[in-house]
Amino acid sequence: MSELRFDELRGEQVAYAIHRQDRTFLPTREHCPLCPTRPGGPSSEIPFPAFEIAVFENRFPAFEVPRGAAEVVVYTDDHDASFGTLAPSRAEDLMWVWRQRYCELAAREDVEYVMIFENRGVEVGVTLHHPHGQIYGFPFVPPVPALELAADARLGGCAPCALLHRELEDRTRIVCENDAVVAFVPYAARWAYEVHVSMREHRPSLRECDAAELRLLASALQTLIRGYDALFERPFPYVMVLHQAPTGASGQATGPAGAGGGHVHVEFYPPLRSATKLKYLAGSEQGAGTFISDTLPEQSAATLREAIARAA
Amino acid sequence: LDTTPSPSSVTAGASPWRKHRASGAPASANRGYTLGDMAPNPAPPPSERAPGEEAPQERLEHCGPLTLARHAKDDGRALILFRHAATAADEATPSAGERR
Repeated sequence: MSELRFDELRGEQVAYAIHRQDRTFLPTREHCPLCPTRPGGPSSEIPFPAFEIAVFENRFPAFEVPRGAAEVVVYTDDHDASFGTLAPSRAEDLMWVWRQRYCELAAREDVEYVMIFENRGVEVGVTLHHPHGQIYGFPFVPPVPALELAADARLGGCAPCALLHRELEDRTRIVCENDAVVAFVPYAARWAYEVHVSMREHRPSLRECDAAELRLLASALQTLIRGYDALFERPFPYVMVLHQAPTGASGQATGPAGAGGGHVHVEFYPPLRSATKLKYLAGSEQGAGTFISDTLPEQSAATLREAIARAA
Repeated sequence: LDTTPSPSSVTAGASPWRKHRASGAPASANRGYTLGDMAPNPAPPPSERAPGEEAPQERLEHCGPLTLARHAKDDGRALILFRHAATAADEATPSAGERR
């Protein structure tokens, strides 16, 4: 069972899940726990010989009932695939899975915030290579979404809507877009190739997205990830996080009037600042909370546009 | 759960969630239920079945173009398999050979 402790100095929760110390760490391909259980083969987390998309409760949860949830989302039974190489229809299906899990977890009394995310690459601490993401059902609203709600209040409306409007006027940082979704390097990006993929229309969560929007969100995410992989001609490590409205009892009422308290957007935090160099969180980032970047967002956006064109 | 896309339902200032807990859960476990409890008809793990008891029929739900089937793993953890409805329909339809 995890334990939460409140850090008075930083005003934030810290979760202790000491059982995770023993979680499966980079197993051999033959013992991948996310592959299907094939006849005569070792048993895995999914006791079926084939599957499309599977979701299960994490064996080593950071949060668990009665204080939250931790789930694993396996995108495919193909060990060698990735989000970017999924068939477009499978990527679209994944959006529906995310939506279903958000809605179901949101309805739980012990879940205040649903975070859907993917860690890709050993550079960000991945312990299983099989293509998968995770879902945390936080029993509280964590600091980052709380800051987004504060930004709504500061700007007097939906902050992601306002920022998207600014990007669409400026256009220098946009990397790709379609009828429903715009992807851009944010004005104050912290990571060299950070990208936010935002819904054009105000949608607090995937629940309010229609089928076409889900399809176009999947398409934009795949376009970006393929561009990432083309950038340095290698699988590009990243942390990908879907931001949606908090799901507490007060729900969207936590946002300012008219803001909605959430806007669907996916943020990518890639640790690479060049083909061979990682950005480390060191003195200024850890001790002061101020990122120091070596790359201007406008330059990164131009480089990413070229990579996306190469990957198309 | 409403799984129908509804952009028109975007409203500010109101929570869309009707929070609930597992039916039959004691008040002391107000916040305590699992993903499996949420399932309308979760199958008990094999280890909890009586000798000779058959696995209950799985109950399919729908989510957009997907069907989902809920299972319970041997250790009680919940597992949901999502399938594209077209795939499931294809497999449910007997092949020409089977029909013969």
